[in-house]
Amino acid sequence: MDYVKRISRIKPEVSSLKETYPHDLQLYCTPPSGDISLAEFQELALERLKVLRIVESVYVQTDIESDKRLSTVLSELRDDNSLSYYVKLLQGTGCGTHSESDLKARRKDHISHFILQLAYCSSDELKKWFISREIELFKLRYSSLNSEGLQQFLKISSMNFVPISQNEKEVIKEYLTQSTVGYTDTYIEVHDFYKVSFCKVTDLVRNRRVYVHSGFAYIPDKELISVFVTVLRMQLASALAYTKRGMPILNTDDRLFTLLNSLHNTYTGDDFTISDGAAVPIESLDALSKSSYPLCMRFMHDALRAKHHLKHEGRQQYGLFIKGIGVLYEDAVRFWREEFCKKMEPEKFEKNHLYNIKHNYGKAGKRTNYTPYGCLKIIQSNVGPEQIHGCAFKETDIKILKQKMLSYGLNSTAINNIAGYVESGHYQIACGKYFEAVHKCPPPHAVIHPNVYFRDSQSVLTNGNSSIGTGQSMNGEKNEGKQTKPDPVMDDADDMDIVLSTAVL
Amino acid sequence: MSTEGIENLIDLLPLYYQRLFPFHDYYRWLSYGDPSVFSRREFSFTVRDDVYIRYRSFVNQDELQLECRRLLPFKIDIGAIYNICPKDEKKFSSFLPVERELVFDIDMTDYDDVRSCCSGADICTKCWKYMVIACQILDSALREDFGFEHLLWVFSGRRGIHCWVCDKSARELNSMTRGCVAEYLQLITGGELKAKKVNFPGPKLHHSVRRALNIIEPLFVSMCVEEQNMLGTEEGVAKFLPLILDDSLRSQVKDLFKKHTSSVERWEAFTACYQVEKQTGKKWRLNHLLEEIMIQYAYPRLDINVTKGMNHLLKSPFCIHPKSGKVSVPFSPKAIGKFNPLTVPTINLLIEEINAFDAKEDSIQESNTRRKIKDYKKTSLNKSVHVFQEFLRNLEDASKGQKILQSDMLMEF
Repeated sequence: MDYVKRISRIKPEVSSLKETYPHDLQLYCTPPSGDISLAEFQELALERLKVLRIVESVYVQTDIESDKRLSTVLSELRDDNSLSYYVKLLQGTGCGTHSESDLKARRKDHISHFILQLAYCSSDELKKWFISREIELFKLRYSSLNSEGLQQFLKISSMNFVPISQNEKEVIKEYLTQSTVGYTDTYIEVHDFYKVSFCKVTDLVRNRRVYVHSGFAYIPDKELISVFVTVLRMQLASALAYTKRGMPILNTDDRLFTLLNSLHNTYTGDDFTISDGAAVPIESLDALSKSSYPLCMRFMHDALRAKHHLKHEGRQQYGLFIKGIGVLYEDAVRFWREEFCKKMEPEKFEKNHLYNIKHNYGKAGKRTNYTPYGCLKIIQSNVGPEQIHGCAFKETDIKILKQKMLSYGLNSTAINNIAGYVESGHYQIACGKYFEAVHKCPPPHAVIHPNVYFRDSQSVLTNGNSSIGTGQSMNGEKNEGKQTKPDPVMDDADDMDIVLSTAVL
Repeated sequence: MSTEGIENLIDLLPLYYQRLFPFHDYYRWLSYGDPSVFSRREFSFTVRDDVYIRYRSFVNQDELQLECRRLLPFKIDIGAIYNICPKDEKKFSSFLPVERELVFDIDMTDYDDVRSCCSGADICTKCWKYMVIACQILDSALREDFGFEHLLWVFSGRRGIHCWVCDKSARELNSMTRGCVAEYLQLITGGELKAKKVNFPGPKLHHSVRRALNIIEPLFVSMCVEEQNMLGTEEGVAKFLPLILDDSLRSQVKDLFKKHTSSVERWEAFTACYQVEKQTGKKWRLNHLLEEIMIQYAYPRLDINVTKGMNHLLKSPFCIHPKSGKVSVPFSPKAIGKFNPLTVPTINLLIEEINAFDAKEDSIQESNTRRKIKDYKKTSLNKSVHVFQEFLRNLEDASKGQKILQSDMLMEF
């Protein structure tokens, strides 16, 4: 690993820049080499981070139509002069022009991407965040390409796809028509299809949007972006894993170490790994669940009280949430024990569940202090029969949802308003409206994390001081520095606890 | 279900690991022709008193065999193949799973909201039909859509089935692609608060869904409507009605159900009413309602986290279920219709069979001239070992084929 060397030798040579950066878009296959000043290093990192944050905010706002995203991002970028080269990058049609400013922008794109790789390789959460944002950015830029730009990009990326022959298409026509989602029969008839390994278009296969046979997906021309997205995703995942292994060497340089480590701390906001408030006694949870819990947590709390049990995923989601709001370890143990033991032998609790609580509080196993789940993770979680975790707005039938809210004392106007957002898939907005209906004022921050919701609720209830920023530094509080080992996992969620309870042998 | 299997398990296991567990074929499987692959595989043992031992690995068959005979595991779990031998993992920081069969776990408890014959850990021949359907649907999807060939299907020992996809390409999949396959096959999503767990919006029905329906449709009425009495109780009706999202159709059906009492009559009344409404109403929500209902009641319910994770542990074939005493036996997906989980041999039975056989042999011949017969052949485990061996033969043939292909390529250049 010679990251230090690589980074300290980035030398801009305009003459060869065109060879290095022949296209507005790139897949970041090779790290940059040359000299770069520390100031520029820092500047590029912060600028890219700003852009990724803007992109994220646009994708999170589910009420922005997908074809409006690019223009929304562009208008935000234009507000900040230092980001003008990103405007250029986002509007790049491919290889229309290669002016000096084009080339410089592409170079900055390249270098800044790799700097952020350094800052985002240390934990799985960070990696995930970074990859998702980079993919979103890539998609926006891909949509700006013209057809010449696309052809060139295919060529540069050595993806020599050839459409399937008319004969082959004729043979499988029935299946293509049946299984290609989102395209009319005429479109399918007229346009080219490409045969690619299903591993290359996981987004399309996952959602059953294309015909899949013998390990190959048959995708219409318009969906080629899916191939790039998959390639980029894998490329980034392995690059980040590789970078992480080189970090110990880089970290010997204090200047870089401080910069890279403070970067995500400053900008990803509070992650609630450790509660910042006073300890919350478990006796108050019933009351808090009514006044300050978001619906997902309230449902789980109620279910736990009623059934004296929660399935594994629910225990994780709810357990980490109450840790985040300030329930201390000893209290958490008492809370779960009292509830579970109404239906379970105490020995069984000790054996199956205690270890998991310890684990979540970073007191056992790999001793990572686990972070409470944010809305994105919760919305994406996989909820099976008889489970009750996940996003309440997404996972509840609209009828039941309305009944519950009615029983919580919301008026029918508010309920119908919320239901409207739910039905169009805007769960986080729905949650914000729910906050508003409960608190008689809109939430001070957009709903992105149940613990933010809780904190906002508390600050509104205790005389409206809602000025607690979300961008506080968490220096020194995080406890994820240790090498992460794969989690022990089992073929049955409940068995997992057994594994954990003795895994330290 | 035999309960004595639990009590004297510790007395029976020595004989089982000594004479019956098919170590040789087991090693053939997990080495895939490469001893290094075997030595980097994680095994986990659950031994006496629920003591759990993770990250064990063995350099060869002998070592595994010795350790099994020494520790007498109640349960063996198989994990991933790592970049370094798991037993050395603490010495290295970059310990990572690199290969793993693509696995599927289907557990009968996930069907509790649709089956009425049993619940929890219990199973009977009626609800076993869900497993038959699950096996057929997954087997065809994995072979036809994804092109996988080497599928090892195993009875989990009590109430479910496992599938190990062992093709080289499947073993090398990354977690993202595993997740993709898992979600492609998962049609039922949603928890306790979501009554309607299957939705096929739009006018089209994906070919994989169509194929699943072709398997479900002929059985649906006899299995779900009749045997499971899907609409015969108030509770059943209460579960069913929320699946109809269209208010007018739902209230029509509700009224119709009051006129009928049996599950079959109600189902027929519903389908008739639905057909009329669908043709006249032009309501998009009704498009695939019938299909959605059948899928929700009969499509396989996957625990997809097992499939997604590379380092997930899954119970090994041929180990003994500590509660039922039954052997986790491989079975052929073609013969799943004939597989009866209630007659799967228990460890007690196998040992009786072995003793009976030996006693008979002894009575005929002098003990020192006893014929050399492999012990499993004396028992009802024989059939399952054959299924396993046939799977291994195909696997080895394919890998030989690949090697020949590779060496041919090398010759050319």
